[in-house]
Amino acid sequence: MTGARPESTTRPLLVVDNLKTQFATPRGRLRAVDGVSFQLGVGETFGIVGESGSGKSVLARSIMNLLPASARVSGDHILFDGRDLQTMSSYDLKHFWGPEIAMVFQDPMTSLNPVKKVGVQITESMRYHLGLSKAEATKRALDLMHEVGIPEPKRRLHQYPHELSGGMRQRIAIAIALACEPRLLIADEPTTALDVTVQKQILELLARLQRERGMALILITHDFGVVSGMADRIAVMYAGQLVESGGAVETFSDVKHPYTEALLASIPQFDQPSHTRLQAIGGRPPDMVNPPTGCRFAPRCKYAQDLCRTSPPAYANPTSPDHFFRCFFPVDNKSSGAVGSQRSHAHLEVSA
Amino acid sequence: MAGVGTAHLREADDVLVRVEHLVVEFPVGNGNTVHAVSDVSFDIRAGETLGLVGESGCGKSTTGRAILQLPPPTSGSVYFEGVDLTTLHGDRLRRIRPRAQMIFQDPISSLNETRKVPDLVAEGLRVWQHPKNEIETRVNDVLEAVGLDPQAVKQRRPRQFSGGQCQRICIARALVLEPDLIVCDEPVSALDVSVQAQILNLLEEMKARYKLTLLFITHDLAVVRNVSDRIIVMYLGRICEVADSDELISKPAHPYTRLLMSSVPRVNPDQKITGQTSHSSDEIPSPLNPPPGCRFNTRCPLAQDICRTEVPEIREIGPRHFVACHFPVTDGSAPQTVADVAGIGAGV
Repeated sequence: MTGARPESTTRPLLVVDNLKTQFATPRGRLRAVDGVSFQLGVGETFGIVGESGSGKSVLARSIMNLLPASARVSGDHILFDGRDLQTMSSYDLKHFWGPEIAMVFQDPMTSLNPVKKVGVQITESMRYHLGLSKAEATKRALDLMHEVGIPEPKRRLHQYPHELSGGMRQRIAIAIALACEPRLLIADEPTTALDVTVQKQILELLARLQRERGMALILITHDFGVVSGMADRIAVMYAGQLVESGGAVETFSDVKHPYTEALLASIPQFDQPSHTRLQAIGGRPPDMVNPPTGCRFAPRCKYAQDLCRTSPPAYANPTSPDHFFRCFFPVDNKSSGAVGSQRSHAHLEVSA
Repeated sequence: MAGVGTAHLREADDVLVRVEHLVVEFPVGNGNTVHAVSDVSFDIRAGETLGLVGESGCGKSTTGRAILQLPPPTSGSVYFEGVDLTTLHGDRLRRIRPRAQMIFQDPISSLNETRKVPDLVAEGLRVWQHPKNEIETRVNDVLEAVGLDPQAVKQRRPRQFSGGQCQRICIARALVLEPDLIVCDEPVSALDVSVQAQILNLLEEMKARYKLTLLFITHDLAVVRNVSDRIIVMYLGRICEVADSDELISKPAHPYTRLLMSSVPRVNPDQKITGQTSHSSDEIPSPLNPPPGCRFNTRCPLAQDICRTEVPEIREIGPRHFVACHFPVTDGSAPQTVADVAGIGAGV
């Protein structure tokens, strides 16, 4: 596990194939993640955008194998560097989290231990996984703290989380995640709890660390602006499924799914004059105990037709090999060239 | 930023709220004081939406609450239709309350979860002992106005609603008393972007229908730009910049306003965050011990000696555009990247 890392670029680092995560609830089985597939290359940044309840955090935790007992994960497989995470024992997972995959959570106040000094929290995993002595681990912790932009690391080492600001706490959380040099970092809303100027600093930090270490990054957020600046590839999640994914530049310039289009159009823009009426999406996301039979977005989609309400569209790439979407009547931007504008109802044959 | 002064106050007959030299301080023990709001003045004209924007701890919420005397400010005056609320007590202050309402950030926790929706909305009217049949009509009217079916919500309690719907209930609660002013404290920050659009549109509709004046407090520059006629940017308890919404966004002059604007992530895949821009991990100083001079001087790329000693006065730099800065950027540019914060040619 701690041996030399293969520098193979032919095999993707992470393959998620038809992942399904369900929770047993009194009302029935809640399908939080329902058939998600994607691949992630070495050193790549994959941005997953979705609103509350779309299943994006459950997806991240399913990949980590970090879910409560009420969850049932099924699906074809989750392969990390060729190894199936779902069949790993809890002992193996312990050695997997840290050196292979690490995670940064939204709220650094609740993800850090309030009664341990931050120095102890950073060195803990290095001593466990890498077998470093206390002195060696402390030395590396100081380097890490310097690397993530914490001023006066020596003094901070002996502070508790409550003595630090939100931005500093998130830097500590990132330092902990990076301590064992993971090959994949999953960041679940890492900047949502932070002020916008601090968010910018943290995003710049993540981008720099990723570049320097060749680390892959899954960035989960509700903010299109954040993924737009960070991600090589993006995916939009709705009601437990990926509804659209592709290269960031291509996807933003040629949106195919009506949900992506509607979500982008609902964001207030600087270049619109004051009091511009925003394009809200009517209705609310479906109940995932009883999702709609057809397309899950159909009840809120302004382009929905009868077909959409009766049969679920396949997740396919009819227009370009790297651009997947789940829609019978995709948005056509070719005529206008702009995001979120008119569409012609070009009917695409989408077969499963 | 860090500006004081009253140059930006307007002499108009229709000024509904006028705040002068507002100071709010909280003692926190050991002889320490949090300087939450330090000498802030502004006015709101009837029918206007004033946006108050800034990051955590800038005093924007404290300012909003101080207007409603929740709690009364440490010093300064708050004139509501010419009456200084800080001089009123007891029943006289209470009689003003129905006319100035508030909407909070977290719609779910700001509603009593054990009560049914019509009771929540009717509460203010019951306090003022309106006749029973009048209460029912007004509650039904206002529920319909905010997009909730009065019959369908009759027996339901807050936890049966989503965040967006709870915010509709909160808006109905505020509207039912037919106020003149609503202080909206981060009303859409806890909501998803598609729901946020619904609530912002609803607030605009309600503003027109009930002839409201809004004080809109938020950390989100794009949201405040959308809803406001005029925007005040605050930092660490003081005003940085005041201007009409379009002017402020197209020609931000205060280095802090420019930093804020350049920090907002935009949907533009050609503009990558590469991690190559070196970012000092500068922090907002503690309001326990704010820096002397301009309070932004510790983070300002343009700061010079005078900024560390002298508090800048608010002054007019363009039509209805006021800034509290010794060295405002007045080249008329809007910053796209952090390097632009200091303006063209200034060289960070």
